[in-house]
Amino acid sequence: MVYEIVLTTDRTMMSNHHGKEFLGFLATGPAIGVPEKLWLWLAAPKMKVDELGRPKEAPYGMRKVEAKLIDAGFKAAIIDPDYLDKHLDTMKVLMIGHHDFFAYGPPSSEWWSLTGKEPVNRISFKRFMESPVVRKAKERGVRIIVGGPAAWQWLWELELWRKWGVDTVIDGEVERVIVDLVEKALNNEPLPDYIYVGPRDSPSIEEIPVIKGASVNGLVEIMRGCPRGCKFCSVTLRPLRYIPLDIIKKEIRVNLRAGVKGVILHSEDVLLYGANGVKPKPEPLLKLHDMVVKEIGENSDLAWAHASLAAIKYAEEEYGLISKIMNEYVLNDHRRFLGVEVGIETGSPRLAKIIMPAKSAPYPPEKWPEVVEDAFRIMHENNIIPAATLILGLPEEKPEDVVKTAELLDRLRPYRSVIVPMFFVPMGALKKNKWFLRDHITREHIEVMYKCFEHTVYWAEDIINKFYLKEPYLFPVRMGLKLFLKYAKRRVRNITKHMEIFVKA
Amino acid sequence: MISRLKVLEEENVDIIIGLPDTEQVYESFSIHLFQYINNVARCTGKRRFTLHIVSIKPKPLYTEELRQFIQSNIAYTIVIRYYGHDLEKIKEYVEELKKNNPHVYGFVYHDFKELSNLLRSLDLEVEEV
Repeated sequence: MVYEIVLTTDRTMMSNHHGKEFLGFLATGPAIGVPEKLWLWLAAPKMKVDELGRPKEAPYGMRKVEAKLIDAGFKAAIIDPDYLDKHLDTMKVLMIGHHDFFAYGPPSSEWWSLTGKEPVNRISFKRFMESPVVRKAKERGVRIIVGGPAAWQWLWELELWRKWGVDTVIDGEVERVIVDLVEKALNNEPLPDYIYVGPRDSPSIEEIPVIKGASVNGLVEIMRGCPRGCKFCSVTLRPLRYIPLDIIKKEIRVNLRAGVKGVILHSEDVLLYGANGVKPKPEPLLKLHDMVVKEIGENSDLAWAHASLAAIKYAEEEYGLISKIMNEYVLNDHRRFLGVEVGIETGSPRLAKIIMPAKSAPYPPEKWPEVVEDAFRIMHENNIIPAATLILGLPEEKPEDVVKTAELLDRLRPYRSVIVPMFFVPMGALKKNKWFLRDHITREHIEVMYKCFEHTVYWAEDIINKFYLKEPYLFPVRMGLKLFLKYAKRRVRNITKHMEIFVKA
Repeated sequence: MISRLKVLEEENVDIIIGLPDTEQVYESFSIHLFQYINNVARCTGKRRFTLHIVSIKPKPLYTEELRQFIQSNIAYTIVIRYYGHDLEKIKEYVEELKKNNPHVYGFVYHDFKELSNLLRSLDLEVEEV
């Protein structure tokens, strides 16, 4: 098969992360205590490919673009980065996607600032762009289009943009425009340097294609957009669209046919599927989970990408919906837990009111810490394991806000979870100084970060012992993680003895 | 023949942007541009903007001047095209644009008189900053 349009990305993205997408986050940090190669293997092992170098699984967003182009009649395919040379003679357009091209997103920028070392994802992406095959493609006149959620990062790497000869950077939902853009690239017409697709040009449900090949760990989208309007998030601007069940089912079947055992339901807030505003409704959610487990059977994994804490509390307290979903659909001898990412962001009602006034809805922002605590309790009782984020250093943050976050962390200690603090980093400052955080960090921040670390290490050991990486073939990964946790505990305890160096006098 | 993207460059506003020709980046340029585009959006009801960049800075280095604007925008579709500094070509291009779109404007750094004058001679409304 001859492909004129090749979609790809670097290794940190083109991987199924041993079937455990959470391990992929390791690539957002520098290699700590082990050689980079080993770190990369832990985070992002190579993907199985066919004879043309097409990966068995690929990032979902790239699958959507690939499907759109194939539906439009183009000879397009996602190719593993190690197999690009097979298509060098036919390739006319090279499309590159990424979640975090240059490690400016969270949590990469935070690990980078704290350690002063380039994260593995940045190193890997730069190595890919400098690789002989990509350079040769450019020399032969291949047009390079880059995009994805991290498209904005190119605005901060103009020299690399120029050096690597990227023709167009595209940001936003691309279904309405990508076919035309690629056609123009193939016809050698002038291309725009930068495109931002505004919310009004977001595709309708009918314009979103069904993926043709399997997505990483069976991720399928169930809705786009979010009604909560948090100030730090751009997804919230997009119109809310619920993907119909028959489309979700088709995509699950694409994954199952490819041998991917499991589903990750993707949404900014899974519990708002078919909801009444921000109030979850039982019927659409039960139908969704009923369909999913019928499709995947008893011996496949199921996870939610994201859920909001307010929706978890509301769904359980109003309808007993969390227990119902978990007991009737999710939990069995094989599926012993459900993983999900949630956002705490702050423990301060004052700050919550400013930056995310609707995050606690239908509860008032004043009740935010209680909402968080109740949701964590509900998840713990139902074997849902959240990976939670906090945002430190928000522009209007005061020390007392950070203290409230620390107090909330104490109250969350009994609940099984991983809590990752992230820094709100003004880009300009980060660009100038790799030690940016050391200049802006406060004692309160350190207290929160230390509490997060203690919490996460405590529960990570419990999670690994009881739930995670139980498959025999994952034994080396499990051992690697355990060793890393041991090493990290020792290092952090040593560092805390000399914590003053982190706080600007 | 002008190459235009379907959908994103239809029913849009075309703005010829004259960037400062100095090494220094003027942050206020982005701020003024953002305000200007908000005003144009209010007046025209349009939500799609194509920015045609005239600058002596090479591509894509000129985007440093627009970075703050690009990152401030969340509401509008923005397409950015680059034309270098060949005013003859710009003239031809603007004439062609005007045939197809009643909403063509100029937004020019105040020292870039050559471009402001050219655009005014083509009957464009020009905002100088």
